[in-house]
Amino acid sequence: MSAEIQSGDFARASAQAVHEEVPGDVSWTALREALDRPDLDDDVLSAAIGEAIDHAIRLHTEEDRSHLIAQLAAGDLEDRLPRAVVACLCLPARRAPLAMPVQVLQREHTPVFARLFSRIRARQG
Amino acid sequence: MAHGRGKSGLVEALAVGVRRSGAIILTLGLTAGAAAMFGSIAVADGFDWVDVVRVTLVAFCALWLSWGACTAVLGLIFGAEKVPVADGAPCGRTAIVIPVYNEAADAVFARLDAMYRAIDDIGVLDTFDFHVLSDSTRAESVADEKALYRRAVMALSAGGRLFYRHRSPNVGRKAGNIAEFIRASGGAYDYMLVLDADSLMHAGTIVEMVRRMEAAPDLGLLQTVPQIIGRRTLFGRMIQFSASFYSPLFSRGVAALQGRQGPFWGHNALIRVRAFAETCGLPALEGTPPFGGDILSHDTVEAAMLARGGWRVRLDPDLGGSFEEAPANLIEYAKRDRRWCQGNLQHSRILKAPGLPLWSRLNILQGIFGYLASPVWLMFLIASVAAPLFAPPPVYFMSDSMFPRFPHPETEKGLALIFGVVALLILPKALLLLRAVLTGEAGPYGGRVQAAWSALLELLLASLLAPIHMMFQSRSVWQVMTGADFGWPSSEREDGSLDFLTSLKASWWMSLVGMATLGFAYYFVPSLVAWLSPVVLPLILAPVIVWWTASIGSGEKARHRGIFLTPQEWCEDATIAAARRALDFYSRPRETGQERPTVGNLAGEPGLATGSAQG
Repeated sequence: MSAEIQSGDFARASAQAVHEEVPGDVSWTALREALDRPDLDDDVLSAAIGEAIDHAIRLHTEEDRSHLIAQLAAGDLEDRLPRAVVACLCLPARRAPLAMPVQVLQREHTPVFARLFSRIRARQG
Repeated sequence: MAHGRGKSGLVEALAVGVRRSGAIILTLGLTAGAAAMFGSIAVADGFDWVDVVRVTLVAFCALWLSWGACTAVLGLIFGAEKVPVADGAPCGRTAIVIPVYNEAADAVFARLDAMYRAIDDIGVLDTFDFHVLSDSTRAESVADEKALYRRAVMALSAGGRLFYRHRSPNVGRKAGNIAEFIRASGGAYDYMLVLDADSLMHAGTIVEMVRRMEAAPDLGLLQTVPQIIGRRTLFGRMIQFSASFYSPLFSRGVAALQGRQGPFWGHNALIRVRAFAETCGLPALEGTPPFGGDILSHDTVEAAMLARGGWRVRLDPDLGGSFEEAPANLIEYAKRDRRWCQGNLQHSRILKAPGLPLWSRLNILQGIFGYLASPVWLMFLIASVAAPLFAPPPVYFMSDSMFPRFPHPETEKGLALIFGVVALLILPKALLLLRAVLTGEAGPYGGRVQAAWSALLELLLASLLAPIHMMFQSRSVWQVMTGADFGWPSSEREDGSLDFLTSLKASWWMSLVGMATLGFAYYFVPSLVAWLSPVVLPLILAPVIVWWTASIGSGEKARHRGIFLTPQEWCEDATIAAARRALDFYSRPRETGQERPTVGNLAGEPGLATGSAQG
């Protein structure tokens, strides 16, 4: 399909900025597991978390922010704040592809006799 | 897939077969009777070719009227059938999908908010996700949707449960939008509740639908009967009352005939995702629009494709708590009808699709007939006005007799035919009103007296609007057939009302047609003037009627007098009220930088900065 899909796109723009908040050696693997969302990549998670923190959470210091991000990166959702961030995440829908084959709705424009002969030939093997 | 049918399946098939045969035989009998009666009247002044045309047109109209009347009578006879329901909380996962296309995003998210909270309140939110699937093309609409999505996620704490996706270009329109969702995320869900942007449903109804689907493994689609809400203009209130009072009757009739091939109306329906995915991948039709290209009215086709795949499509008319909005004035109604007209006429290309059950083909054919009926009525009127001009002069002396023979008077037959047509139109409604008055069902419509007045005024107003609707629909058919487009005046007032100039721009041509017809009849066949007046006068007055029925003042007056009340107005519906309250929250200015009410900012600790739709 030629459609360009922009899932959770509004958060992507700030992905790079939020990445800078995350310690370089930390990935979102633990959070992915905690959320049961193995389909999300780091960029999307970073963007969504940055968006949630910017819009939903009022933090007083940069330390608060770093601590919160560290908690999220560790998949530690026991505290109220990390849970609040997760509850405000604007994530793309779960990636779970399902085949939807295109069906036939129009009869082929094969002449009647051609169809008949092809059936006879098919029966004769 | 092919589901085996047990003994109960055969009994059901037999019962449905008997009902269908009965309805078809009765319809054909009434049609033949009407055509024969009209034929004898038409040839009373001598036979000519115009009579053949008129009898054919009358037969078509009688067929359509009789079928509608038979369906309604079946609705009076048969109640909603008992269906299996699974116990307990739903097990399968359900996606509630809301396709949007440049609609007012605040109202969309307000309704979503109300449904989300209602489902949460009954404790089954864990098995539901919400998806707003945007096909919007206007940049401001997309920006609004994104801002309000963010607001909704925060207000509902719906992270990971409420999703938004925008795509561009909108390949395949709404059907393509849903297909894209299924291809990307359909594997995560057992069921999907397809809503329209203006849909609203009770949480109890949603859960009940899932339970019913879980109890019927062969059920591919479960359709509800949406009631119209939120209308304030006279026209809007009339169709709101009509849908509430009469549509359950017609729906029960449709359900009595449906068997395994029920209808799908495109929204407020629960779909088994796997069934839909394996059978409903819509192709683009060969050629160019209007008959080629994307399938526009996809719902009827998808119902037929599910049935072709062996899945049951079922309308359950007993499911309440399903709502939608509707056009507030006749111009908006006609615009929507124009789209549906093209979609239904396009179905003529699908009638011969391989493998469709016969009843599915008849369903498709009904959709086509529904739009051809108006131009056929119009042609009949034209032919009737013209017929006296073509009538041969009466012959009083035949060669085999020396005495004159006078034309046989056909007055009785004429009156009987008129009475029959009126009965077909009114009888089902009158019987339903009688039943509502006698059984107390009229209570939520303002009581017996107000319900009776509402029904009477609905009949009068619908009769007044019928010729105008006939002209709009005939024009739509003409446009689809010829590819012409005469355009529409802008009528996008938020409250649905119209100014007179807009009404005039949309309907001046009807006044001209009405005056020309009246003038022609007055000059050539003055005896027809009185008979034509119920059709011609509304046409001449069309600009006034369209403007007047779009008036909020007229609608409010009717409401204050207890006319066109519906049960949702008589006794406030909690979900509708919640959506209305939520609208205040979602209508607030977007992203001003001043809207960050702190909820969780406690004792100087870091906290949540979020709003609440519950106010």
